Amino acid sequence: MRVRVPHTLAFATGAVITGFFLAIAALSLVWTPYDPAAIAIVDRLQPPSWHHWLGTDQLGRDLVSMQMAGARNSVAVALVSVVVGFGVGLPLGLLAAARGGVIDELVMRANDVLFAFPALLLAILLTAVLGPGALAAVLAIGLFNIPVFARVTRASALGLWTQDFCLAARVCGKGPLRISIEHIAPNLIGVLGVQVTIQFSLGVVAEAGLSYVGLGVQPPQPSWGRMLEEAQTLTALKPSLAVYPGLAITLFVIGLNLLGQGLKQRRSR
Amino acid sequence: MSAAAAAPPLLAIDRLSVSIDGAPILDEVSLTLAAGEVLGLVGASGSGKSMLALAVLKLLPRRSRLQGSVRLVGVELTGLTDAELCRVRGRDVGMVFQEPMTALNPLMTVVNQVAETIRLHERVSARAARLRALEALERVGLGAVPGIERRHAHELSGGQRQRVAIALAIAAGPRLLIADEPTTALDVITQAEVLELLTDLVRSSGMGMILVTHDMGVVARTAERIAVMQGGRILEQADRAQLQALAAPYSRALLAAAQLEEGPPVRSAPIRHGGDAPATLLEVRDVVREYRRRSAWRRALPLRAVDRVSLTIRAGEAVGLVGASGSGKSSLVRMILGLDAPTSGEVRVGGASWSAARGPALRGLRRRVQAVFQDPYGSFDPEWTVERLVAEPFAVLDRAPRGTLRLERVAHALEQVGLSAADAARYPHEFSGGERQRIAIARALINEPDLIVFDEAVSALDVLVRARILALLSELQARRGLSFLFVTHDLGVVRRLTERLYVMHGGRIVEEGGTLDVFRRPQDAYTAALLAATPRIEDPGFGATPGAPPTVSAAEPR
Repeated sequence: MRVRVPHTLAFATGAVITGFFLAIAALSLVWTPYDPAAIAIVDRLQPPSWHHWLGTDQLGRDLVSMQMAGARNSVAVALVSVVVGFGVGLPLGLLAAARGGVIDELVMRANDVLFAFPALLLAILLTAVLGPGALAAVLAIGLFNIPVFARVTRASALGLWTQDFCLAARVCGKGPLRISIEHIAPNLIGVLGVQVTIQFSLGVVAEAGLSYVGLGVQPPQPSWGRMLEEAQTLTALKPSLAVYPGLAITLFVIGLNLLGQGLKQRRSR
Repeated sequence: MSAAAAAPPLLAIDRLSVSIDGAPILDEVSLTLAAGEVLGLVGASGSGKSMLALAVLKLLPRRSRLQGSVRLVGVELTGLTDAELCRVRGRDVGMVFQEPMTALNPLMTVVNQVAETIRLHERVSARAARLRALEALERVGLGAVPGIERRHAHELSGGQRQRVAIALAIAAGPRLLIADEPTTALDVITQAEVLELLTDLVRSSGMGMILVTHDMGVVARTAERIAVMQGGRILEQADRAQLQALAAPYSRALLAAAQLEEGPPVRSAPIRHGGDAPATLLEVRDVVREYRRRSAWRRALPLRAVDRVSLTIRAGEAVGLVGASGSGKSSLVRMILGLDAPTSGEVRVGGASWSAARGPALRGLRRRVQAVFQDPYGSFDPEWTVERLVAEPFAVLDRAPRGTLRLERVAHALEQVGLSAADAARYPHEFSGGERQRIAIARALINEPDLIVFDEAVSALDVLVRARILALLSELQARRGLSFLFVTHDLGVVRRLTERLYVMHGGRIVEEGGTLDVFRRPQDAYTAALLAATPRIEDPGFGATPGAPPTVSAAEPR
């Protein structure tokens, strides 16, 4: 059974959670309680205290600072990959819908090929070429996002093209490019907004996954996925090391999904 | 058996009120219907006529409140439980809706659907139900369709589908049939056939029927009695014989809309400056448009939607293009608007051909030809303000007016169509259907074109609104000397506004001539059939003796 959350509540909760993580990520750019990379073996594996709110890890790094910096890296990778997917996928989808025929077929079949490539495989490939790091992760997730945005754009745009206002615009002498920009794209904001939240949350999970297997953000930069990976050997000794980044990922994804759900319901009202 | 001396009427609605979320939809409606009688329920969209039809069976949306009484053969329906109502629906009362495609299950053969309805209400074997279903299909005139016992809904035409829907409604032998706009989605000739079928069924079985429609002509052809609804109330009632006695302004407008013969046309005599014949503005010469049908099994066959059509419109002339859906008129319109290129032949505007025009010449042509489309809701980008929408045709101008000049032009265009300059800042969803069509007309006017094509531009409008828009158009045309092309399936619109007429059928022009001449003396068989099928209030009606339904005991055993 699906639990129905009133759209205002879903939207508000989602906005608060998402906003909180985005604020933390932004704050970490200018301030963290400690240097997230500063090692202090003496202070290792401390319990939460006034000095270290969440305690420290096996190398004595402050967990709050690592969470904050991790948020920054996770959000940055997911965000940039959404921008890549959106920025390439939207024009491709608009083009396919506006021109139809052979161009539509070419664009969409190329998308299918891209879509059929698992992001992980793509990441391994890119890492081999570019060397491991955030860039490879961004590109892998971003490439994965392109066909998603292209498909959603094309499907919705095709529906809009059948409407009389597009016919009216053509009678007014506007070409397909101009109609796509002036009429089609603005009417897609709602649908694409929902898709952005979905791809954003998938991006956060994908980044964590890639970092976990060592293909994403590289040490000493922390990220939620790397923190999980490092906590793995100490699960028995100090499970909270894995709990914090795990919770952060889960909460952020829930927040984004609620935001998307709220947006969707608001649109269909 | 309760065959008392004073048998209760088949249906008695007494002070029925319905409100949804506190907003009144029906306001103390009272009606009676005798067995064998057809009551026409007429009104604009939003008048509550459909809601009344649904309220009889308590098929109301959630959050609605119902007061008053609905009695079917003396049995109060408003107090029944859902389970009891389910037995009444279908068995005692059958319903037919506007859109037959969505009313039928696409995965079942039509026979099985009718049989299913029978088995829902009676304990009969599958075999017996199937036989009775075939009988019901025969009664609605589908017996002669080859292989009808294996057909699905998509394998039938629109008219045949509506016949299946009627078979579904009458299969269980109901006493009351409620038909909600049953012919609105059909072309006029099919409409006439379906109406005749409904009338025959009522006459032969002694059912009562409520026919909900917005078309007074349909009612005049079918119903013995008419109730006009407006704002959730019954405005007035009349027998068919006294239709002209209807007095309320709304009823008069409905009557006027269904009059083809009587009354002077709204359109005034064409303006002719001096003695010289006006120049030809639009010339369509031997135009053919073919679509390729893709088929995996056979060779691709080109489908000829428009077949060697020629047509001219002179400057200042109002011309009608009439045809049923599928006649090819939409394909022709797209070529006249320069949206599609003809497969062969040529469309010229003021001597310049669409297919030869490029760049500035093409933009010049676009400025000269504008269009108003059917759907007042789909014609506007919902994200745009009226000002931006009305000014959209400026896109073709090399030097489009800016700033105050632009605002002035928009305001002027809005005022010409009876809207105010202040409306420019609003969004389309804030306007009614009629107002939106005015905005569409303002958009068509703003670049001062030579020709405006109206593609079913008033079909979706309520009759009163339609009459006002038609008056506006006729005034604009007379004042500005514009050329109009009215593309429609509605002969009444053409009769009112045009001097000349083309009738299209099967991709060809089958008849052309002066509008009045064509109406008085149609030369082509199709035109004659179209004219004969168009419902109008001068109709004698189908039944042999109108106003005298056969007397049938309401308690007759079934």
